[in-house]
Amino acid sequence: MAHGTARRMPPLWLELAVICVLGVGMSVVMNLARSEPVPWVADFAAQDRREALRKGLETIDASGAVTLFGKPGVVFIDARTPEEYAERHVAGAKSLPQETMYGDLAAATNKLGLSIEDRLVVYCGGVLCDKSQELGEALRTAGYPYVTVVTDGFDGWLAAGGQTEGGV
Amino acid sequence: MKTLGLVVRVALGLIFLAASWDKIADPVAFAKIIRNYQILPDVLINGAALVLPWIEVVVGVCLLTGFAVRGAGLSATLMMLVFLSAMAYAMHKGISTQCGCFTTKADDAISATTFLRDGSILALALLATVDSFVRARCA
Repeated sequence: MAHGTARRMPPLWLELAVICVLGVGMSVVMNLARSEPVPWVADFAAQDRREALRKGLETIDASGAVTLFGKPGVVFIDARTPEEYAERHVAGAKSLPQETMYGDLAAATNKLGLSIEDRLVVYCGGVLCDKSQELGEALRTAGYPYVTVVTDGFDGWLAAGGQTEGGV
Repeated sequence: MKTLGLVVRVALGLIFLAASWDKIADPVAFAKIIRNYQILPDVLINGAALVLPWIEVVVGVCLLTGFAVRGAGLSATLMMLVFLSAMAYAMHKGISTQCGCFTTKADDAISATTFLRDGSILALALLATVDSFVRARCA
């Protein structure tokens, strides 16, 4: 009985192969059918750079930011919410929530003791957040010429093994 | 028992079809979410964002129609294991990212709820897989 069934059923590997081939095939065909096909390999670093350059900002990834840590004149700016900052942040970073840019940004930066000579390294949560870029742009507009945005944010900083403080 | 197996299989198929829709509609947003997990190298991210939702579609259709159902059940189980492992990795690393499970919108961050939901889907997938293998053996 079981032998008879085994002959009729396709082998498991064939079922898996059919599923993979159909899935890949359909993704290729449907991507080609898009008005603007999505490239199969994207240069995310170049995308980050282009986006930031469009806003007049310098960018760096977290592993690069780690090498800047502790250097004279480098100040890390946390663009996330005060709650996220309180939970955990880059060691020595100053909290300047992105929402501040809609209020008196000059007063907030003065309160933090930022100098226009400082290199401000701005970060937010991760690659998906825009807060660091928006705040970075606002800081440049406010007269701080040396603003660098960390493209992969605090998530990248953690992954790169950067020093943190705060939280439990 | 037969009816229960059928219900589980159909439910799982519908879940997989529902999960694929948003990712197919906006693969670029899905790619950003995959990138935020910091697991895959950049070179593989767009490929995964393009292929994965269509594998979900094929698995969903197979589960609904009963075609290649053992392979579909096993694929669903493996995918759920991979998704749960990725979420656990992100949480362990302290990465706050979207789940990318059912939507590419910014309202589905990884949380206990997403673990519970995906864990339940994994249980369904395991049931469907075991059921399909048992039926194949007993038929």
